[in-house]
Amino acid sequence: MTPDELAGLDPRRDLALIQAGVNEELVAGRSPAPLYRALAERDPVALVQVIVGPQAPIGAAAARAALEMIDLLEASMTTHGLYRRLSDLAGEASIDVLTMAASRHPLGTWLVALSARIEGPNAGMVHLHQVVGHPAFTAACWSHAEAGHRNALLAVAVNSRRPEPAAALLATGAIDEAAQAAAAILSVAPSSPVLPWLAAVWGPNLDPIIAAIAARLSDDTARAALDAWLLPATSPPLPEIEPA
Amino acid sequence: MTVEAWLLGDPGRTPFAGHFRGRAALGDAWIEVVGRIGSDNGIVDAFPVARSMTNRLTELTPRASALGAGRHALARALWQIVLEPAPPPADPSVGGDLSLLFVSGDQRGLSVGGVGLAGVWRRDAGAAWASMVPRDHPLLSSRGIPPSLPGVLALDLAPEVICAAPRPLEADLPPIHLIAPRCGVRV
Repeated sequence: MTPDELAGLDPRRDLALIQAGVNEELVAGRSPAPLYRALAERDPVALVQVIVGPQAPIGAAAARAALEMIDLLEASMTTHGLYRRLSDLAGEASIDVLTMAASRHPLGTWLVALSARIEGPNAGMVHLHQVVGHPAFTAACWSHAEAGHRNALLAVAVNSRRPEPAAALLATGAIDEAAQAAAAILSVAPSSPVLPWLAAVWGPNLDPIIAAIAARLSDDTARAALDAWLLPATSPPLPEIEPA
Repeated sequence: MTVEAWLLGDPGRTPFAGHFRGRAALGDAWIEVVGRIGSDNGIVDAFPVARSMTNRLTELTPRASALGAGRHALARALWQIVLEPAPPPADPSVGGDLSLLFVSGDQRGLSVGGVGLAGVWRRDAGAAWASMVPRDHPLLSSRGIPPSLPGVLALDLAPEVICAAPRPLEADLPPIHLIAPRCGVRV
């Protein structure tokens, strides 16, 4: 169905025909996006019905075309419900749906559940990487940590070199993962304030955490970084005595 | 026998910014110290200040032995460390937000002291938490390095734990099941 053919239809009365037209485009390997755009101009409510209604098309191509209409869709229903529905329909493009959701709603607490639904054992990967550097990053780390999304927190800690994911892991008792993240960060970014963050979460009895980090350090640079953080100079160093 | 000293952290995700602790013994005397410093400047800036304080508290025993014996020597050594300017590279202005609680003891008794505390409670064996001092008690002073040597509160009976709220927290003890976690104490 072309946009011109659509022009001869009544969007409300002929919804089933339009739906069939969308499916024809998909079966033919064409994107329904031009059809969606034409329908959006004539009857946005009908378009929403076509895209996310009971007879909505299933599959990645349909979902990607739907994401082009995201402004209109978001204006028509709750964001949480919209993205959940789109992800159900999207098949392999569900990651695209999640990426869109995370970029437009980085503060959405519902992203945690949506991430689990779409990403399974890697839940949080898309959302957390999307919000690195955003004011919502810390809150997102804590939300995903509370949901047990440890793989993603570990990955984003290593990739971003930021301390918040390690701190969030520690806050939820994931000591091994927090130590692993901290060790990885110190190896590549010795000046990253991961230890101050861990201490601020854990409290002053930091020895078990330090031991867990030290056990995971594999190079001298990282060990030197750990020492530098732990032993701020308490007095100027004494002059060295020449060996006899 | 020692008495545990706990210090409440802030509510929120990073409650223990700037927290430090130390302990030392000298003969039959002992001291437990908890505190926080530099937290007004944020997590990152507070950490080296608190670590520096932790490291300086390792000097408690040798300093106390030079001052005499018993719990009072340890307490005097603590104040000596706190009152002297922090060595380089620490910012000399640091310390205005200091809160500190210590408990020291020996065979002759127990002493409690501190600075920057909003409330202090004790938990005796098999008993509930109870406030140790009224709100206008000198033990509940303002934050910061004290201008002179503060006094101590003498205790006749040893509690299991003494817990304090650092200013500017309110003098409110959390629900019982949250006190230990709010102090960073894990069993």
